[in-house]
Amino acid sequence: MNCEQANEVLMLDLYGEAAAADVVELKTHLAGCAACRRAAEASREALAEFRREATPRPSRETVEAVLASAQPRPFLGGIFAQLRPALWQAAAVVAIALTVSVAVKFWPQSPVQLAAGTSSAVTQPATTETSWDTDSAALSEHIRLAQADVAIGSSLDNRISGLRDALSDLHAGSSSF
Amino acid sequence: MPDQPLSPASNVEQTDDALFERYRNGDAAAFETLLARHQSALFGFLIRMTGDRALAEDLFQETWMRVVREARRYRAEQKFSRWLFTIANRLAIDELRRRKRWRTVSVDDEETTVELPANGPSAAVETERRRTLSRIEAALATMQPSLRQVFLLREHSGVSFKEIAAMTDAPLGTVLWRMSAALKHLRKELEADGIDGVMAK
Repeated sequence: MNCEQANEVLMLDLYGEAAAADVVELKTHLAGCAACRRAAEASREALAEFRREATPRPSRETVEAVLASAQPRPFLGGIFAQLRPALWQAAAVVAIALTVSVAVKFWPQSPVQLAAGTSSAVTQPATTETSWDTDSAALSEHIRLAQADVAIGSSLDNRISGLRDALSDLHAGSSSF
Repeated sequence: MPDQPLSPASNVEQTDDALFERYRNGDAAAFETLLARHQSALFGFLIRMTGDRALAEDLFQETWMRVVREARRYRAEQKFSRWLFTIANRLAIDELRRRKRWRTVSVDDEETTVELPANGPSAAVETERRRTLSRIEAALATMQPSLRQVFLLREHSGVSFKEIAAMTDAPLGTVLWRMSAALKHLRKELEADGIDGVMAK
């Protein structure tokens, strides 16, 4: 670090803005440079002297004039800010109502089909008439498939349980050695 | 100096931004707190920048009126104090330019002291004025305005050197050099005024 760089870091350091690594370098430089050391000391003294001076304050008349001119006049932004929560709630209610009404009007599926997750294109007749018998059959088929899944799951559980037992036996055997 | 209005207790802990937002929504007490919080630093900056109490009072009032007028344009990501001092700094420089008392100084300039304007107060009045001013005020009065600007902004506004560089459209290196030159000038004036201590050694 040369004297010019040291001076820049010193200015930053006076206000706590210098990086820690730069402060270390500055200290090293100051230790070996009498001129910079004197300048740094004098800068700190000058600042301390300046800060000892009382800061002038504005007159009471000026402060009162500022306060008088700053009487708040809420503008549209302020009004909207106050209304914002209520507006958001109203907008949310309208959006939900619209979504539900559109869905009811344009989605020709029975509640059972929706619950079973089947597509209306596959299960519905071409006439697009709702057939509760077809719905019932589809639901039964899903229940049968789900039961099969459960059976497979049980079988897998049994196998995993068997493997766990075998592993425990193995551990028990190895620990007895 | 008369007592200034006290800030309402409920506003003391609030940030400047929170207070200003409340003021924008119609809370006059929030503005009063902001004013109480910044009035001393802002007025100190203006009076030391201009060296003229009456002018500083006018600029102080004008700065806050701009804050009120431009409240809608204030963005929360700005720091309030930086915004406030940017306004005050512009107003002060415009006024000093209008009075032909503003000149920037480059890194190459060795002399950092300014002559008092030819159309300014007479020597006797100036001598008297200097007697009444504190040593520091006198040192500031002879400091190059662009050095004084950087020094006072850093001392009074609390904004960083980087922010001052942005406010004054100058590179950070130039800002740091101006600060260093300002302190050098201050030291020189204080030594000339017979201030002892470390500086005189």
